[in-house]
Amino acid sequence: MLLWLVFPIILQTIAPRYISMPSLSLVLFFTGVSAVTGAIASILKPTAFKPLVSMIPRILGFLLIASTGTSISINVQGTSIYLDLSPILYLLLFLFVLVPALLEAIETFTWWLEKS
Amino acid sequence: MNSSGLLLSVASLLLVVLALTPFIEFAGDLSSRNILEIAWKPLETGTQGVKVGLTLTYRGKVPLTDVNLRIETLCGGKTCQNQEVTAKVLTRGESLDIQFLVPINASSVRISFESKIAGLYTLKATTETRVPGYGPPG
Repeated sequence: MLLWLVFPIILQTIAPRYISMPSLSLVLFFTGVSAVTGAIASILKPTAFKPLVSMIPRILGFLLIASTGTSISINVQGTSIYLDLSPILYLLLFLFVLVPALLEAIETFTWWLEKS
Repeated sequence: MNSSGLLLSVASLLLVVLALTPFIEFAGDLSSRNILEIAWKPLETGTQGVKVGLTLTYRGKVPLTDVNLRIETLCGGKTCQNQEVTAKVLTRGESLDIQFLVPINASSVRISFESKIAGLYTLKATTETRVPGYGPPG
């Protein structure tokens, strides 16, 4: 969960002028939401309910952030500059949403097998 | 967090840092210096217009890949001439040279530069300018 905080903090510290505020606010908002739901999920037993608590806020967060745009357009002295940041967002999506979701699903499935 | 979880977290963090490094370096370069230097000079004057040579030199630290430089000469808002040059990789100190004709009735020149920062992040920059010392009378 701590890793989830790294991306916006690095970007805000090093390159604040290149990040649009609505996207950054959303990233920070869902970082907080994910931290809370992740903490709740960590104390839950591996039931079918657990992946919903931990994963759905992250997936929704990413979809919302991606829908606001993953690129930056700025104008510097008459030169328009466009920068596409989607590779890092897709990497974060893979590492912090898809991989954990898969692990949660395996854990839930194992629990379900043991129970039945 | 167990040891495999910790290992996964460290590997994830490493991947994120690796993927972010070129972007952060490029952003730092962009804010501290002029990373794309453009120099141009008239090569010859003919009845059709002036042949101009343009040199674009890259001064950034991060290599650029899939580089495309396009020059469009605009006559009354419409493209009347265009030239482009491409390069697989552009590293620090390397240049791209392009020659193009500026017709007598040209109003401005649009320079479009497109590349990928370290093969990851697409960068597009477009500027429109008059050719120095050249333009319609008046």
